[in-house]
Amino acid sequence: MKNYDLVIHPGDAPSQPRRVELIGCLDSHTVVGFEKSLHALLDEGVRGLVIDLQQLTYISSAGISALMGLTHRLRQNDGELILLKPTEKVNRVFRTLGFTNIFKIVENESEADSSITR
Amino acid sequence: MSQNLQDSPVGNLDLDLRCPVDTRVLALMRTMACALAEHVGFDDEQVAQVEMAVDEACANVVRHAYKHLGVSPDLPDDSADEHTRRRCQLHARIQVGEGFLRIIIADSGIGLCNTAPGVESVEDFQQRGGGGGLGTLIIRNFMDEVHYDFPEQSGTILTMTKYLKSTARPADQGGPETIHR
Repeated sequence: MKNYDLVIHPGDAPSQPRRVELIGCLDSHTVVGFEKSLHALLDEGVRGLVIDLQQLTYISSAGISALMGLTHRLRQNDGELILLKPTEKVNRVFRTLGFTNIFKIVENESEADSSITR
Repeated sequence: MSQNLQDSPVGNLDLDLRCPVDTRVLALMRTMACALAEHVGFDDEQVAQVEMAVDEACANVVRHAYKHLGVSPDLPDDSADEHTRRRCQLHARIQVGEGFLRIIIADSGIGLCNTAPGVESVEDFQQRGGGGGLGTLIIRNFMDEVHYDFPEQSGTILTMTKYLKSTARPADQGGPETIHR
């Protein structure tokens, strides 16, 4: 398993939701590149993001804060950030701290699609 | 890999480390914290809590303690010279005992009391739209005892302890430790 990788799947148009896979650890070291890449997508006009967390092995407060910042920015523009199927370890952190009520978390891709196009 | 300390050939441990303030150190500190938490006998959830608390404590030092000297990942690389960078250190002391893990993270920087205050709750964090300050909330939530000292000279000493649920807290080991720099 890589320490960090981000796979951004191509989209047909900026208005289409984009899917990205977040792999490895999102901590104070890796969050800089993550934020830069995703805010660049939002700068292009993307208003819907699905972040696949199935291979995310660790998230720190810096990572949570980055997700919060993206959520905030997207919602300000009537967009949405969807977190797809976080690993049990990451989901436990969200649950313990109360972020399951703040982030939109879904368990499968069809639910992600319907949440973002709603 | 959960192992009872009594069966361990290593037994009690008292480790002392000095690290550069660099975000690359965080992954190493997490790996070590997990290994020691497993060594004590914590379950997977508790190991993950120790991992995160240690990461947050170290990240606070790396990001904030020496920012006034130009040493922080939030600043450009040329904000401080090599001599200054070498002086800025994270000091970690890790004590493993019967049924507990105590981690002391210290620095000789500006003092956490002089940086932006942490958030009081997740709601507080949400209202701010993210940003910093969540780390101290995580540390308080995930460790059993958390104590901050701010020595007169400079810096912050954070002492945090986690106990195995079935273990009574040893009375003679409850107070804050002195860490010598």
